[in-house]
Amino acid sequence: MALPNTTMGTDVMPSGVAPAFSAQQATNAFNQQMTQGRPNATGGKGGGVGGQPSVFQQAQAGQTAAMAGTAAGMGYQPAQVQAGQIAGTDLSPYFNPFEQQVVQQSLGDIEQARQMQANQLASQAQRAGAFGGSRSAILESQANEAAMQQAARTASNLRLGGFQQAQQMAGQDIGRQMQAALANQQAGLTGAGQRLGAAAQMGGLAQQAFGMGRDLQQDMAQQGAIQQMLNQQIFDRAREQFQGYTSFPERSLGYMATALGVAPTPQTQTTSRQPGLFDYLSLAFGG
Amino acid sequence: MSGGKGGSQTSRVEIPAYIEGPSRRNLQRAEQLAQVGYMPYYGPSVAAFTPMQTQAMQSTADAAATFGLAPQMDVMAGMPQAQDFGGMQGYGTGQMFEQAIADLATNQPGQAAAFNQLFTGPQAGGAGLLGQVGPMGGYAPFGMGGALPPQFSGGSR
Repeated sequence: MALPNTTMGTDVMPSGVAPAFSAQQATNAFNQQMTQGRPNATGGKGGGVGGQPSVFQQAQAGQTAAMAGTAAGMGYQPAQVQAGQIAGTDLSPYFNPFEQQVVQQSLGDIEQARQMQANQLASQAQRAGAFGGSRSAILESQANEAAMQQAARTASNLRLGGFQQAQQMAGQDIGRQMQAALANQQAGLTGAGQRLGAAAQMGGLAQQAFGMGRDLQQDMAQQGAIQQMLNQQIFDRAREQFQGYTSFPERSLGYMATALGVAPTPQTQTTSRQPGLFDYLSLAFGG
Repeated sequence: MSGGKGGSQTSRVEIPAYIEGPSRRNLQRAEQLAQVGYMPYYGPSVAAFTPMQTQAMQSTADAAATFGLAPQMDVMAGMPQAQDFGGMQGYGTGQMFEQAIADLATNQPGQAAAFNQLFTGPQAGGAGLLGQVGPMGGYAPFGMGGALPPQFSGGSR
């Protein structure tokens, strides 16, 4: 079992924040311990049978990864969000790059109109025989003044409109950036919570694996004890049989002793008498 | 019994032959058996750990090592090598008994020899008394072809 590589994301660990463990380190530690493939018991090391990691190795690796993940979660700091301002914002990207051209074109149109009007005034004055007179000069001056005023208004209105539009667009961008930053911050917090939950789940799985291993160990020990007890009983019966063999002569003596003890033992008493000298004298004298 | 000029009188109690014979033979057999000595047991006495037990213990040790509680170890290290008794693994004390007897003979030769001379057996330096008789481990019941050694064959049998 190997965990997929995970990425922390650029906003998970702000610069300057160095947690004790990272989720990547936790994943690497888990995968490393799972792929070490320690030899089994016959090889003198604590691996599972067949090169597979034992349930205790999985529990230990899971616990380590869970601790690392939890530590990473403890060190997590969400991304900082700062509000943008129009002040200090470079608005040049928001201006119409053709604004100057539009202004110049408008001024050119005004100038052209002024010249046409001047030509018309001159033509009228010439037809009236007043060309070059003071009245003609006054009319030309008034036309020029009006054209200049129109040119100034046109240029200022065009530039004001461009500035206001740039300001509005910059404000909208600042709002969108703020919205994106808040979304990223929330995503980071959600991700951190998800990783903490995963670490807790891994810790639970590690504990479950440890308990399962312990249960199996106890079952094995119990079954082995039953087997050993059976062997011991066989050995005991064999020894009893041997002791019966070695003690049989003693028992056979007991059989005989018992039999002799209960058998009636009639005793025959025989009395014999050897006559002496006095016996013969008594016999001779009729005593 | 009395005797002399007045003569003598003798009283004699006789045990029937069917009682006296077995009694004598039983005493003789008891004396014979007393010289046999201790018969050690060379069979298995203690059952060894089964593979299931060994694996369980090894697994416990491995688990401890995995969690850093103990170094990697072989749980059977330091344990005596079990012997095979008909497919069952176990331990017998026969060899230890022999070793103890040999140590006694080495350290207390006089005492050991005096003790061993009283009984039959390999330590007595000769064939056992019962080794000369019947096939049933040196013990042949009467009436089944058993024959007593010459020193026990006399008497009223």
